[in-house]
Amino acid sequence: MSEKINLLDAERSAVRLSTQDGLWEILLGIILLSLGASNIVRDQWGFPWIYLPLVLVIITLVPGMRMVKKALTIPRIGLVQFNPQRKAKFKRVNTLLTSLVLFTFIVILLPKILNFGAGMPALPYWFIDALFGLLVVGFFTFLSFALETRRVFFYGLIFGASMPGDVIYKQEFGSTFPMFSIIAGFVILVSGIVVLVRFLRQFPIPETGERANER
Amino acid sequence: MNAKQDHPDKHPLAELDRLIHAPARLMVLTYLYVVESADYIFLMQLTGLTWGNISTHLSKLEDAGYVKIEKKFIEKKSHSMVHLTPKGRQAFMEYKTSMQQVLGELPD
Repeated sequence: MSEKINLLDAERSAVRLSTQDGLWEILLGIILLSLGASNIVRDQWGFPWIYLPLVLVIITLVPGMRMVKKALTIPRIGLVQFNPQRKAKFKRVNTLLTSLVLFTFIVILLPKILNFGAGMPALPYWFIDALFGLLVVGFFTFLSFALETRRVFFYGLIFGASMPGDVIYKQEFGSTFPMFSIIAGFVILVSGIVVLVRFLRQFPIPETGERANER
Repeated sequence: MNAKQDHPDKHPLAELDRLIHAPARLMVLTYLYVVESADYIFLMQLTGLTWGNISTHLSKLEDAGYVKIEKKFIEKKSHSMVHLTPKGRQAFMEYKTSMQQVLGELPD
């Protein structure tokens, strides 16, 4: 044996194997499309209905994805429970992400809501959305780090760029159509479907899978 | 293995735990070392071993007290989850240290 036993690589392989079914991307793509649909709904029906598409997606798709995971993923790659160190890493990332959201709320949104700094020079129209875009990129960067999956970072870039993109599009072209959210959602959704198809081809259900779990 | 006590000058390779040294079992133990527990299918996919192979190797490791196989109900379905015992964890670390020592002493 000429290679060192690389435990870190082994752990990464285990994490990657457990997250490569593409379902997560499909869910994210649909959520983004529903955010785009929210903008259309807002223009058609007014403010209270803005969350309807997102709520419908969360109510139906999140449990749906769990069922699909049980039906497609678990029979193919089985089950794993990560060690306390990895769980602690996930927890650290969660804490960091929650802090980021709170920070954004306190520093950016709250002064805006309470109308602090009235009389100060107005911020550019795309500023708040650009900050949210950066927050999204930050969120996905940490997620990418936690899931050991580089493509998650690129999803964050696409998602993050779509937020100021839609605002600039509206300002420059006068259209409220959420062009960039729809494109971003579509790109992520299609990527997820490609990843899922590749996963299904790469990991057929092992012939002895049931027996393996009935030992 | 008490070879060192019997023959203090023995080469470190002679002290290697042969139960762990088999490539298939070493792979299984490496993955079990980095996760809390995994079922047969997960180990099969990670190692590329067949069900028969993995079952045989896990039985040997279980007999040695290195792994424990427990039936768990996860989302109403029974899964045989395998995890490393403290004895297995210690044996694996000792094996890793010995291998690193042996390989580290080799000339380039």
